[in-house]
Amino acid sequence: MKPHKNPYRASLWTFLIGLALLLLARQLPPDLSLALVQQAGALRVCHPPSLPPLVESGGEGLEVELARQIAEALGVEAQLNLQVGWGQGQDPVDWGLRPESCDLLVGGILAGPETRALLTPLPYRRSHWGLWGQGPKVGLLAPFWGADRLALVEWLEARGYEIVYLESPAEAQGALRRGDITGLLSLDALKPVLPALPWQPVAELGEAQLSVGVWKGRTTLKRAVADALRQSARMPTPAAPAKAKEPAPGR
Amino acid sequence: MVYFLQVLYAVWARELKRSLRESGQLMGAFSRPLLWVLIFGVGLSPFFRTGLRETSFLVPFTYVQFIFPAVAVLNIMYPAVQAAVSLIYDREFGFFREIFASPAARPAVFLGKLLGGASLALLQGMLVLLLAPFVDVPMPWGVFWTCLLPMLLIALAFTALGLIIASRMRSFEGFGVFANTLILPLYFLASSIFPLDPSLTIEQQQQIFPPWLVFLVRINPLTYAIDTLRGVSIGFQQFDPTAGWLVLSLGTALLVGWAYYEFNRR
Repeated sequence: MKPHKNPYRASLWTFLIGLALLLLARQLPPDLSLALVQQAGALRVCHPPSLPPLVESGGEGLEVELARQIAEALGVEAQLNLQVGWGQGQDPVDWGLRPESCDLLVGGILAGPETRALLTPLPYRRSHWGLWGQGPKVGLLAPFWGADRLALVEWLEARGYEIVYLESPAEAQGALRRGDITGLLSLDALKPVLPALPWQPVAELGEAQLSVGVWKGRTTLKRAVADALRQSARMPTPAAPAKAKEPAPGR
Repeated sequence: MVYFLQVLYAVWARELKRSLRESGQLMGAFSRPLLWVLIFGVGLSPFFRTGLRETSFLVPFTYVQFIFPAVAVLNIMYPAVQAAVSLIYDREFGFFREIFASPAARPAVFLGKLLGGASLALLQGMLVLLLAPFVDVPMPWGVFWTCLLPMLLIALAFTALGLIIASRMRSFEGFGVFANTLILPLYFLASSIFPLDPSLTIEQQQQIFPPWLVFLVRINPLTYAIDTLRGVSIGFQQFDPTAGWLVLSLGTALLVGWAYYEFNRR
């Protein structure tokens, strides 16, 4: 008598092999971005000329230091690559940034739809919009890539403030000193370089997530940078007091 | 009512058991996502890289993320339509003569077949979601469960479509050819592997793509089904989300109704 053959045996084997292949595929590196950085032994960090205290001339600043920590975690050196055109104009496409010259971008990048169009922003710190001093002449200091300037302007206009557009903390300091403005709207991340005036958060404008950026599609590098940020968050420093939270693509 | 459910369950379980005995179908379920995501997706990603001045428009995802929901839909479409081939088999070999001579209610038999095919298709679609970490699409449980609703509707719609085709076919060979002729154009014309720029008007889209292509993509109901799944899985939709859910729900209801009419008629 022929032994009974389980009719599901072939399917079961197919299922197990297929599942193993899918699980194996999940482990494959989807690109070479991390391997190329490690092969070069350097993480090319692009940054704007100056945005104290995040980026200061001479290769200093909280975010530059964070970039160095990230590079160290990847086992490579941070190679700073100053981008003189960064922030010159409204459209980031005109700033002259090139994917082939930057592995990591730092310098006041805020996670949001605008930055997600080009980058994968990896948030490392929450910051709040707030008002130093008071009206009627309020300076708007938002030299952050990804800031919703329209929402900021609408908020100021709705309160009847006269708006003075400012480009740098130094310009804001000067304007306050001279009395050109009586108040200033910006992120509290700039507090260390702004005058010690009364500050109050603006709840309606919400919070912003300061981020470092990796070009979209460089998945292996992004994962390594996100891991480095998590490590950095476990060892609090002035640059990394908040837990890094990874955003969903397009979400 | 209990007898109705017993018949429904029996037909549903029969569909599942028969398909699970065929290892060939399972091979397809695993090979499609591996081929499309690993080879097609990864291979074309560099050409879609959304750096500065490298594309005519900017979108918040990578190419492999863009096609990921579409691959899940492809893995649903094939088994859903193929499941209906059993209708020809049952008709040819007399199973239906026996079952229709019994007191079993036709709606229960129809629903059993429909849900059997849709269950298999949904399970195969879910296999693709296993590759979410590879394509860097976060898939927390909340997103996973939300994905299942459009996937279920797509599975029901294509099983119903398969039943409509099978009701009108006399041979297995004819069914296979017809099903492929239908599936592939529907799939490729559903903005599954290339995006239409959502920020452009239809007139502007027609300057980038040939107008006939834009027209065919826009009138294809599958475009809106894939777009809806893309919305819930990667958070990006090219078209109005309400329109997507509307087309998906109405299309499924229409196809299921039509399939029941054809099933009852034969």
